[in-house]
Amino acid sequence: MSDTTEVWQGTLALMILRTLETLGPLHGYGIARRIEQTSGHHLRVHYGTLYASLLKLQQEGYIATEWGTSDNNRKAKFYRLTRAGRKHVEKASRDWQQATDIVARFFVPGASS
Amino acid sequence: MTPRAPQRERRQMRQIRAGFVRLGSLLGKGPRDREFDDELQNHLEMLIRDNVRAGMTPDEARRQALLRFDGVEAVKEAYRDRRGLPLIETALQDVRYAVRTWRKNRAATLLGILVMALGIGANTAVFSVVHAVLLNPLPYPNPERIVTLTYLSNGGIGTGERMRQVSVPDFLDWQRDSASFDSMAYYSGGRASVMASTVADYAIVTTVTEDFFRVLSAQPSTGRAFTSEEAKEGGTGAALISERYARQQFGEPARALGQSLRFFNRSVPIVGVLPATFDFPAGTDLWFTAIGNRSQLHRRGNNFRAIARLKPDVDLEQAQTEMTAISARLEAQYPDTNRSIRVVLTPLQREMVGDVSSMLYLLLGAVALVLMVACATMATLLLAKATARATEIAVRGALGAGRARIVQQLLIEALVQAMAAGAIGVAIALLGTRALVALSPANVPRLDEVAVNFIVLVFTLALCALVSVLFGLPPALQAARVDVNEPLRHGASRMTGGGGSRIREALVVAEIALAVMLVATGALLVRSLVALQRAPLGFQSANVLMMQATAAPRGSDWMPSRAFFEGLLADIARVPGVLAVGAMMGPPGRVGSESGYWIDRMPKESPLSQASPAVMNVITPGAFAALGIPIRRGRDFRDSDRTGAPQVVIVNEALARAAFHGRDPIGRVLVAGYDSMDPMTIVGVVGDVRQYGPDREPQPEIYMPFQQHFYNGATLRVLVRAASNPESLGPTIQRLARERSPEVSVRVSTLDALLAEHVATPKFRAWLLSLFAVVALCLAMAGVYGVMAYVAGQRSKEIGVRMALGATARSVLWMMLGRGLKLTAIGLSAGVLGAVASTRLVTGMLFEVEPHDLLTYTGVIAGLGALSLLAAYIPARRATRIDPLVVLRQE
Repeated sequence: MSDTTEVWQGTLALMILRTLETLGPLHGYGIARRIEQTSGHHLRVHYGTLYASLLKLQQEGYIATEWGTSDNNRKAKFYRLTRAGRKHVEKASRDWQQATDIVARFFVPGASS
Repeated sequence: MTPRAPQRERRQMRQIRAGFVRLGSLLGKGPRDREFDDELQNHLEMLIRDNVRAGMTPDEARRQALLRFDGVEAVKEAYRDRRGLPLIETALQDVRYAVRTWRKNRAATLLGILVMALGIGANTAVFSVVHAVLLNPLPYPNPERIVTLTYLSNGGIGTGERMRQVSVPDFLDWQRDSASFDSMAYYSGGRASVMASTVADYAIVTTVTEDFFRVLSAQPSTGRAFTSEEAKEGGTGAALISERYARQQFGEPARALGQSLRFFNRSVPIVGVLPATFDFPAGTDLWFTAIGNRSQLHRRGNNFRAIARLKPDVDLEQAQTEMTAISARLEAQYPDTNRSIRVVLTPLQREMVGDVSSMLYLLLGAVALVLMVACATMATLLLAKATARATEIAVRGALGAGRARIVQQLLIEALVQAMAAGAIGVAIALLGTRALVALSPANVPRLDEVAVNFIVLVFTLALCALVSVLFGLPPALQAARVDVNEPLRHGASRMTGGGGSRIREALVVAEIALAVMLVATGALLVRSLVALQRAPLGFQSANVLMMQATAAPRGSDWMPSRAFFEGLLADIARVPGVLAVGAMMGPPGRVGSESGYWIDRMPKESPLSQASPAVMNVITPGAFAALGIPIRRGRDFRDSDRTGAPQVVIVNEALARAAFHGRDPIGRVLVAGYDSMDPMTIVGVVGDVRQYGPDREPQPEIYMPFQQHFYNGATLRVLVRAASNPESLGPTIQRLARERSPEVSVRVSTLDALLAEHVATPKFRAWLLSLFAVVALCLAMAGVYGVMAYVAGQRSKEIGVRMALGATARSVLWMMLGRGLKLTAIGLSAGVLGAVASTRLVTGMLFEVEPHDLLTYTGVIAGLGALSLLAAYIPARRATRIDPLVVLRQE
């Protein structure tokens, strides 16, 4: 467990949105699990931060909630992307791609010399 | 790339939307909390299940899962912080907490709020009056350009004294020679008998010249202004009336037009009504224009007031320079009458408030001191409270409250308290302003314009809030900064020493000092008032009824007027319960007329201004008896002292002393520059009366018999001495007058009521200042008590130890009192120094008391010293009752 990292500030929201974009409606636990899996268990999601982030996204109108049944047959709250959320993810993905590309150039051997 | 601006806009929209959603969730919080609990529960169960699937034992799976939640509460808190608006939510919580704390600490909180409310209310009330009366510009266009013209005597008797009334010949010369003024006018007025219907009644009539309303830039709201034809010398005359008078007499302003009024022996048409906002000179019911023959008026017939409007491009100084030159020219031209007389221009507003401004500024100063004491007391209470709460604040810190959160809580407590105080303060301000207006002496102008000044209200409120933050916050912050374990382990006592207590003691010293200043000033004014009321006036006012009556002559025939008074006095004398009755022109305790006199004969070459001055009065037989003025030598007037009989006169003792130096004046001859220059034989000497009010020495006075001088005026004051209860005679006497003639105006009052006007101003300021002094005193004592009680509480442990080690109650009492004594002594000394400086400002308001009166100061020091010792004694005494066992066990 010692090689796991806390999720970086500000990136959690993007990860949540990407997860929902890929997998469709999910409950909080599912989102957390999926993020940890996708990171190859290098990330460890703090649940408080997760729910706070979910709430923020919901208030901003990027995601919406609905009640559904979880795989253990219990009533559970599912989060799904809204249209605004979908657009936001697309744009954020582009921005992220651009940003990482730029940063990556500084780590290509010989680029900084 | 997308353009910047719309992107920012969209982001803002999102933030606003989030704000609304969060605001919405402030309401109906319960179900949402439960919903979230469910969601977390669900999450936890799924995690446990997956852990079991991964091969853990159920117990281990649950333990690991719970670990992942590292305290579900923190998650919930984080969630809640994001969900609602934490600031408002916690603010509401703080408000609730503040109210709860109050309930626990009712007396102290109430005291704090009351202190603040008093400061806010009293200051707002007094400042509202000061603002309306002194500071608010007059309600006329360009009021700063309106000036009054008065005389200043700069040589001979009365140097430096201003005479507000001027003569018409001088005025006409000024008008002819000056170029500084856009318009000039003169006016005179007073109560006069006016017949609007069949019965005559008194009204305030101001006789004005044509340009009067041009100077003031006033227009009638109904009807029209005077025409030149009406206003010129010997013109037909016309009247403008006030809206109030129009409603009173005719129901509504429009109905007044075309009606006529009978006064000054003529019928005058009403041509217009002035709006209610116009009230100059104050209280005027009707303005009348018609100038009599001006050429015969004497240059020293100073019976008019003059006003003028400066031209826009001329300032006061330039106009004054011009008028000084003109009056110097007149002085050279008319040395007999105009010697040493200069003209002074004064802005109208300053002239109007001249009499009352010093009183109002005194009140403002006093109330400002009260505010300072209130702030100091508030600060003392807050400091004590904040320090006492050090433990509580430390506990909150230990439980995880951040600095910002603690500051927020304390700020909100201060604000909630300020708001409560503000609400009570507004009530005090409203009531206080109304009370001030109602109680103000009659000479305070523009009281009808007084309204609560909300700027001041907000200002004082903000000041109080600021003080509470300033003094409530730092000690609390200090507490929050300290290692949380310290105060928890040792109790709050560690935090009390040093800076905090020094500030507290300085505040108490300041409170005592300010209270001394106020109490000393108040005491001096009260002593002056008592002296004024006790000053012998020279007559007995009790049980005397006074009826002012005006019986106008028919044209130049004075017989009806003369007969009316003679008959009325005889009628009244027959009423049961009447001990004595008489009448006089000048009211007792007032001056009707002043002039000069000569003994034996009038010198050939001597102007009137060189004659010895005396008060002139016209009186009927019986008036001295009605007033209780003793006849020292000779006799009273008789009914036989009338036209045709030898001219007789009665003088007072002051004149006898001044003119005859102890020799017998009876039988000597006197010439008075009053109505005729006929020599009159002195037949009596009467006791002195303080004609200029209780604060001035009696002046020489000459009394002439009414039946030889009836043509001087149509108004007499009928004086009736009753055996008891003079008011009950009022209706009878009024009916007797009306039966004799419905055309005579009458106005009944008691002599006591008239005399009360003399002391109205000193009474008003003495009472108000005493009220402020008492408030300041109470506040200061609350401060002393608060601090001593607090110190006693803080040192209870130490006292317990001392007593356990054998200290007696007595020694503990003295130890505690010593501190109070020291503070009191410092406060008293500082206060006396302050009072010596401040009471000098009221020297002009004192009567028979020196500003540094030793007795007053000794009394104030002794009284305040005793009170603050008492305030210190109560908590000190309580400290000696401490049971050492109880205190030591508290550890």
